[in-house]
Amino acid sequence: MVSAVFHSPLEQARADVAASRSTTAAPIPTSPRSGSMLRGVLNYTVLKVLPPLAGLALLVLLWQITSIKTAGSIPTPAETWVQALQIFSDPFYRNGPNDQGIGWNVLASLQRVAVGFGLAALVGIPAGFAIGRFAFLGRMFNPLISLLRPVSPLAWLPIGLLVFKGANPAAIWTIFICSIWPMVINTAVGVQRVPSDYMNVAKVLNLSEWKILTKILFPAVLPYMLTGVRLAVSTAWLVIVAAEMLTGGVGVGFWVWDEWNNLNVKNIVIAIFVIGIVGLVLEFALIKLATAFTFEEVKS
Amino acid sequence: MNDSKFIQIQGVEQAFKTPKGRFVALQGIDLTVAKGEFVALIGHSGCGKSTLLNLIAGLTRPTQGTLLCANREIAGPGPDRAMVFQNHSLLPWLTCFENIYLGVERVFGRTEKKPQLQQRTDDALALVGLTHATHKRPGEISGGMKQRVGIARALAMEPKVLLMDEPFGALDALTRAKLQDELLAIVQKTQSTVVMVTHDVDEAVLLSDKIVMMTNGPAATIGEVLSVKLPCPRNRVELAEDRHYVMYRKAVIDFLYTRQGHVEKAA
Amino acid sequence: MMAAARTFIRAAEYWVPSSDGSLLEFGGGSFGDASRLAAITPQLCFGRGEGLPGQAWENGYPVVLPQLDHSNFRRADAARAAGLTCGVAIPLWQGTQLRAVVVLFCGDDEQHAGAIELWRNVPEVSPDMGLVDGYYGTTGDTFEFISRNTQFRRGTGLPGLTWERQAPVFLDNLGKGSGFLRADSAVRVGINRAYAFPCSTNDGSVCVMAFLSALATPIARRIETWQPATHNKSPVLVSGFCDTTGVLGPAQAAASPLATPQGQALLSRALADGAPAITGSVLLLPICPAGHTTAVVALQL
Repeated sequence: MVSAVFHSPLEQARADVAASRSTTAAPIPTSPRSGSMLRGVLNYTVLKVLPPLAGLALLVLLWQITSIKTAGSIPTPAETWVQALQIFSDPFYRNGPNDQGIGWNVLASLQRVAVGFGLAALVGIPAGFAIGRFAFLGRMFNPLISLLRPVSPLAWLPIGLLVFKGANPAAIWTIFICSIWPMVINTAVGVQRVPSDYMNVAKVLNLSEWKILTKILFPAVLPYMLTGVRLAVSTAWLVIVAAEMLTGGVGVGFWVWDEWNNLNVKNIVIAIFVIGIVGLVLEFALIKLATAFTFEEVKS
Repeated sequence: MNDSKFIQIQGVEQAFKTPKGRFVALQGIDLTVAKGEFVALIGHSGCGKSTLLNLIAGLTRPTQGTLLCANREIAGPGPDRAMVFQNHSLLPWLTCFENIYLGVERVFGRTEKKPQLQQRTDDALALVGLTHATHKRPGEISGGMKQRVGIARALAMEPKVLLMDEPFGALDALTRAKLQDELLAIVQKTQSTVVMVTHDVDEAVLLSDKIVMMTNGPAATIGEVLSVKLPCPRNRVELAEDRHYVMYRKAVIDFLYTRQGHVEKAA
Repeated sequence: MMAAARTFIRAAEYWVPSSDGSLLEFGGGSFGDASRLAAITPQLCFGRGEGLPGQAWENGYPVVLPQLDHSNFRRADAARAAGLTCGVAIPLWQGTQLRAVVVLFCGDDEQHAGAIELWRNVPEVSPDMGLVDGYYGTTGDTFEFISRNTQFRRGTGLPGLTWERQAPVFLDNLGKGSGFLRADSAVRVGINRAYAFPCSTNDGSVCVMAFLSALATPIARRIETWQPATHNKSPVLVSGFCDTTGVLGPAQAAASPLATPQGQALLSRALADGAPAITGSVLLLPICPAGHTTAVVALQL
């Protein structure tokens, strides 16, 4: 059991929760039937629930220590929690272009990601198909891709600003350039990895090109494509925050920077959590999507 | 005349270019298969049995020689020489019905309407006893059932020749035995011409009318042809004690395992 | 291996066409113990299609007589009395001309296992060489059964090898590794030695005659393969097998029964004109698969 050494109310509250959960499972069973059920609940708690909670508790612990060490310039968990409650009480207010609720900020960032990512998909996926299917194109573009891929998307930002002359388009451009690589590469690999057995089936059945594309190639490549999408989205979300910080405009990144300028450290910490949670949700949604389309054989 | 030389393979050679030079996989292959005959191709690994099957299927072209099926040159793959692969090769995102329908549609789509095509597919599934799996995906059925669907798909296209590449190799012994029996029954019913590559001596003797034994690679060729004259319909349990079955079996094993060495003295 | 061990091939004779080409007349024979046979044979003559030699003439390729009770065989009683159990007639062709017909009689019994096989390939019909007929005697039916259902390709198995080489092939110890594909079945029935040679035909088909026997029953007392001289030297003993001394090679030429001037002369003649000859107990059988003589096999009975 986590010992409640520190007296922050937050910490205490969490410790109590943890204690109550384990105490309900701890008592000696009164009868064999309920005993096994209680044992089951105990097992579940120990295996699944306690570790993440312990991890979180550790994080909060470190946070509290840091806060004390920096003599309050980093706010304590408790203070941040209070601030968070206040911000989330009205996420969708609008007081002018630079002062919006956190909800709007998140949505604005997501919108940029969506647009940039969508464009990348439109260009990247067909390109991936072409590169995978035709060896010549592969040989033509692979060196190019290898050259440009390691470049940090943020290095592309100035070019974006020059060409598009605006913060919004430039940010979208940055998202585009960082999302496109995983999608092209994964799709190309997917096309190359279509098991030759399936292509043999297509040959023996003498299927038309269109049928091959829709019934065989596309479903076979889908899992790879979705992996590419997952990678792209997670990178995109990462990049948008940085891009917004550099370019301004409405969004989560900008908000973070703005709050820094205002020395509102609590909001920055809250922003960190928000960014993380949104990223997690995106990832989770995409994983669910990918699982729905991955069939047993293709998984292996 | 036509029937006894349904498939004709004449002087076929298959060579590949490798970084180490020219690798001759098959050489001097001459073989005829009569209509309705069941031919087993047997030999050690790497003797080019699958290469030969691919040549008959039209999936590759020989570097020399000709292959004819029903007096027409085999120029490419097609549903008239349907193939059952060792890995069933069912498309995992389609149901069993749709997998079979794909082939049926291709072959009969132009001349028949949808209800007829669907009927054909249902019949094929019934033939292999898988009506209950019609709407299941390959991921939801067992290995034996998947292979049955593969066979159903091939048969549904009413091919001239059924080509099988170690179709039961990936299955356990019991499933294999069951499927062999089913295949026997189906082939009897449909009078199909079958060419099957196998490693299994018992399978070859039980199922086929002719066992073509291939020498070891490289430059593998046909070594010996054994005519299996066992009475039809063949019953596995009865045959296990049949003297002739045992003799045939021994002869094939003799061939496969006496192949070591090449010692003889010219008199 | 006693010197007195009975051989599988017991008697040999050859027939030559008469001057008008309508009959086969006795040319010579070596009958060993078969005295009755030796007595009645020289008086006989056969028309085309008559008797064993006549049949071979008619067919154009060798004939195996697995049962000497056959209606076409006139000397059945005499042969049986001598313990002979089967016969084979081998026509020798030069182009479309019949040079001679050589007949070999073999005897096997419970203690002495032997088999004769005739394999034939007709190129237009099939690439396989199948068994035309054979005599399997006391070897049991497994070996026979498999042989009857097996077809060989050129280069594979004893018949296939002989076919490919167009020269006699001798396999001394049939067992694993000898290249004899039916080794296991063969060894089990006592067969462990095989000798095969190509035969001439007049119809373009390829024939191989195979003699199989057990260790206790040598095929013949001595088998030698002689080939034509190079640069006008004497014929060369290429290879062979002797019941008592084992494998033979060029070095053993001097020990051959044909080492005499008369023997050498006969050999040269046989090599030159493809005519068989019998001297003492030695049969000279020319091998002319494609119409011209490539070797002469000397069989000492």
